[in-house]
Amino acid sequence: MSLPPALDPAQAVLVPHWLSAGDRLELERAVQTALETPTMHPVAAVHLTEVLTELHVAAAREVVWPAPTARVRRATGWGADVVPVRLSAVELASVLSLPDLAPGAREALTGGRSR
Amino acid sequence: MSEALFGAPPGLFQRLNRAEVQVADLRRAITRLVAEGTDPDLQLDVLDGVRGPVLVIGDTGRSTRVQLGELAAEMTRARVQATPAGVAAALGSWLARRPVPDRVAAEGGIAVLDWADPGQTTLGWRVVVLRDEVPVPWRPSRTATLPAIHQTRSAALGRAAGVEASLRLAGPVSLWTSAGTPGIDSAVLVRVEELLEETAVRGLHMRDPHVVVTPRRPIACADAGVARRLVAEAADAAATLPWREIADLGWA
Repeated sequence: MSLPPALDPAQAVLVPHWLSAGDRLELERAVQTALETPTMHPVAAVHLTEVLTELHVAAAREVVWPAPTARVRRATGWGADVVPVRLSAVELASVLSLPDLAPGAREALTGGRSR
Repeated sequence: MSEALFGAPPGLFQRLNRAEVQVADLRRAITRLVAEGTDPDLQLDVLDGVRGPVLVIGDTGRSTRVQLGELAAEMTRARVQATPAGVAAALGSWLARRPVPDRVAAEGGIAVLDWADPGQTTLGWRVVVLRDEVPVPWRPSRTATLPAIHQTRSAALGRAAGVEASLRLAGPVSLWTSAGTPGIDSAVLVRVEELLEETAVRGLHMRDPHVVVTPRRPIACADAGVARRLVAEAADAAATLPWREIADLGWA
């Protein structure tokens, strides 16, 4: 597989979190609400924007390469709306620091299917 | 194009199956197929060769020979069930991937992107023909002349330009598929500029569009950083390239 030239030398490891459609909607809502806050620190905003990108990218992966996730779902019995959302440690931390994030989505990111 | 030659691979349980496909099983399946006579272009004959029976496939002027013993051994390796139904299904699936005749490729070939090397690192254009909705690659026969090959290829590029593309946005990612026909999605890349324009019209402006190509799968297009995120840890082999490099790709 060929990758585009890596511009940032510190390539973060992305860890998959298996989120249902509801979890992803809630995550998107919480991140978007936070990004609209004028007091948001610009660096935190960058990480949260990356999380939004990842939510879209996760949906795109389902269109291009549906087979690997389908195999995991078949083996685990998870619903058809459960897809892996890959986040770096700092992205996950920035999401978990949002006080507004609903407990269900928080649980899905910290325990739940991720363990 | 690597694909399951004898249809869908069997499940885990089937791997315990140790029954061998015999030449006689194949002969019976061929006789039945000939009696049914489903494909008028296809002619099947079994001849007795020096090293055992040979299957001769005649198709629109192109002839292919295969040792029945070898074919049976390959089916056994692929864990094909040694029952009449199992062998018939595997034979049908194998015949659907038989070499494409030059004339058929010239008359209906479509250009798509495929791997140009076994290591799956370089992309190239390849002429494919749809056989029962499955794209089958064309490799020029030994008798095909160079001008004829060029003509077939340029006609295939022309047909690829006529493949209807459907475009869908997923945030910063633009997804391109061939409408109605799965498996030839990369054909739409002959019109990559038009697709980028349409993406911009839909409201997604990219500074440095990169195209993520997975042969036989939908095409994704995104800025370099997003594309890198998209292919990170992708299980299937995919190539990411700046959109302008598509024009420089050779033939696979």
